[in-house]
Amino acid sequence: MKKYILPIVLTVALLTTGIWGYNQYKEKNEYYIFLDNQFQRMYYDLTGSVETITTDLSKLMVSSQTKENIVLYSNIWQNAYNAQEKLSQLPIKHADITKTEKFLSQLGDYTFAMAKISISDKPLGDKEIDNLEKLHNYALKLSQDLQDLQKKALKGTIWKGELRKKGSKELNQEAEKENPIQLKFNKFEERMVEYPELIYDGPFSEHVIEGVRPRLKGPEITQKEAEKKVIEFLGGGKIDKVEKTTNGKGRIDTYSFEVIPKNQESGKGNSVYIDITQRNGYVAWILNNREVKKTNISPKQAIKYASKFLEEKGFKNMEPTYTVRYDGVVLVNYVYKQEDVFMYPDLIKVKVALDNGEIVGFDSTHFLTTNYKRDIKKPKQTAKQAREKISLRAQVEKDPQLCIIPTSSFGEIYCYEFEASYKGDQFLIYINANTGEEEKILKLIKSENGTLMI
Amino acid sequence: MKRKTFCISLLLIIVSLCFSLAVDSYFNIGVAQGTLYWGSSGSEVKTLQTKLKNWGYYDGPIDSVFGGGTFEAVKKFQTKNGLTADGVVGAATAEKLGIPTKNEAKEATYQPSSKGAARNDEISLLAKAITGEARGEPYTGQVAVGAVVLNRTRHPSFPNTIAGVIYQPGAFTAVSDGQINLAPAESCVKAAQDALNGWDPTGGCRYYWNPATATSKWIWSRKVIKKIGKHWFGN
Repeated sequence: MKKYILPIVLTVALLTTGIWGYNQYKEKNEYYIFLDNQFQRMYYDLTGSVETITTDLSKLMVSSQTKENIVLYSNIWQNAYNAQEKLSQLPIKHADITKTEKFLSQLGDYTFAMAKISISDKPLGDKEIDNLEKLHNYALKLSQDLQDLQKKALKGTIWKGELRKKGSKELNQEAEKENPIQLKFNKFEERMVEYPELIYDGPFSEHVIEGVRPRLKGPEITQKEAEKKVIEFLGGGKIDKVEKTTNGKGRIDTYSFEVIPKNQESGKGNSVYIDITQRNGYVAWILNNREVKKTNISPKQAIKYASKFLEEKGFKNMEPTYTVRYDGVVLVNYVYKQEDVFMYPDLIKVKVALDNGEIVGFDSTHFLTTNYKRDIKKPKQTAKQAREKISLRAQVEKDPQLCIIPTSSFGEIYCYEFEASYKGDQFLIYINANTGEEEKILKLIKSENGTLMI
Repeated sequence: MKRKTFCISLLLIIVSLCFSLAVDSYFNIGVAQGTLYWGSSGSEVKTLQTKLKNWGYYDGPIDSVFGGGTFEAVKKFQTKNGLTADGVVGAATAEKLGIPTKNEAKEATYQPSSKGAARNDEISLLAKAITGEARGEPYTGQVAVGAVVLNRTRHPSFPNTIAGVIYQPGAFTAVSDGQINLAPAESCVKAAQDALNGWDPTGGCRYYWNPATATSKWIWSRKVIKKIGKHWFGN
């Protein structure tokens, strides 16, 4: 009997150790994931800040007026400090990043000083331009390096390696202790990081909520009527699922449908999702995630298909502006044109499949909420006067286009849109058609896939 | 006799310790640090495909997307050149292919920065979040999850950046349990692009939850706006 006691005790001890060890292992993994997430986020924010700095520095090259300059300087200044802060929190050896940190803090100091000079309305001299160009180049290089590193870090291997080297235990404990404080701190730290978007989308999405909505005033339609609209719009197919949603608070109320396309069985292939507005029965949006294997038509032909489609569906006077190509589809942005003035808030997006020209995506939510007949007056400034407001450094090739752009405070500004370039970078500059003030500068991001704005 | 049992027990302990260590290191082996792999996209993949096509390893389309065809072609190339045929273009394979790993920028004159392709990292981060959170959902449900992330960036109560929203502690379960590090599914990459291009099936929602698994009581106080697949969306 006695001889069994020791083995039993030892077995129990062994099991307990095993369970304890497993729990430790699990806990360690949780801490690791938590910490890794923090690092990933800081890294993305750092990259975003440096990219925004690069864009803003290049915008300074074509900006001529004090107001816009100060906005750009303060943006760069904030982003530089933000980036430096994020960088210093990452588990990278200090020696490896001292130069980058120095660059970021000097950039912040320099732009802060420049902002102060700008208030006294002094124009930029050759030396300042030279400095800004150098800073821009360095920021560009830095953002490329960060992107390269990010591709490797995407799988989390870098942080993991770093962690193991430094002894994960200490760091993990530290992270847990700091959690609540750090959260608050990060929130305070966050500032504007700009994301490139298709023109006049995203940043102005609030515009939709508060805008005038004459197109959505009218009788409410029934579900049966909405179903008819779906079939009519898609030209056939079987309705699978229906749901009615009421959003209240200014958003569009819709009927949602899931439609099985023609010659497809249910449960196989991809459904088409479509929303119909409850008032007046407009098609709000369509999503169709079908695979496009071959490209048979060119983007130019695709635009023709899209324009024809809009014409047929009763959206008149729509002008294609910018396009972007991805995964075998072309996305075309249309703006409403009234008396040769572009209405940038009134946006419709159409996605065309490049195999047979089918419309696989459609979004008219912006158009439906903002479009109305505007009272267009003759601008107080002539195109020539407006042209003179633009910086001498910017090269303007074409005649300007009159347009209305949305503001972040739900207003609309009547502007001249100038296409300008500076040493290979291209911009759109908006000059107020009545006051001659520089209202906005957008930078064009051109890639093989299309044009984006930032 | 006693001594023998003691020895055996000791041996057992040592063996089990070794075993748990082995298990630990097994789980901790990272995925190979490949720069290009199945699912990658962009101009580097385009260069890769062009090279492979010119040398006759690849006969698919040059579409800048690393798919099955490219994978097989890379494996063929690796076998021919005495590399490990894993279909991942790491440093060694890239060198053999002659793909430059670093771009050298000149310092002196202004470098145009229009070709920054700045959006790729955002697309891939959003696609990973959608994969972790909604890979089994219908396509609208995937776009909707992407739209919720973007709606949060625009709302004052949430962080202002995509990374800030996604990595906010406790915000998404897929982030807390590490599922976000899975390779993004193809439909989720498309969904991320659609969401970034402005499609929003939720009509501006900032929250979503799965009523079958939601553990937070607070989430039930949200107003339900729309139900897509297994998820409820609300504000």
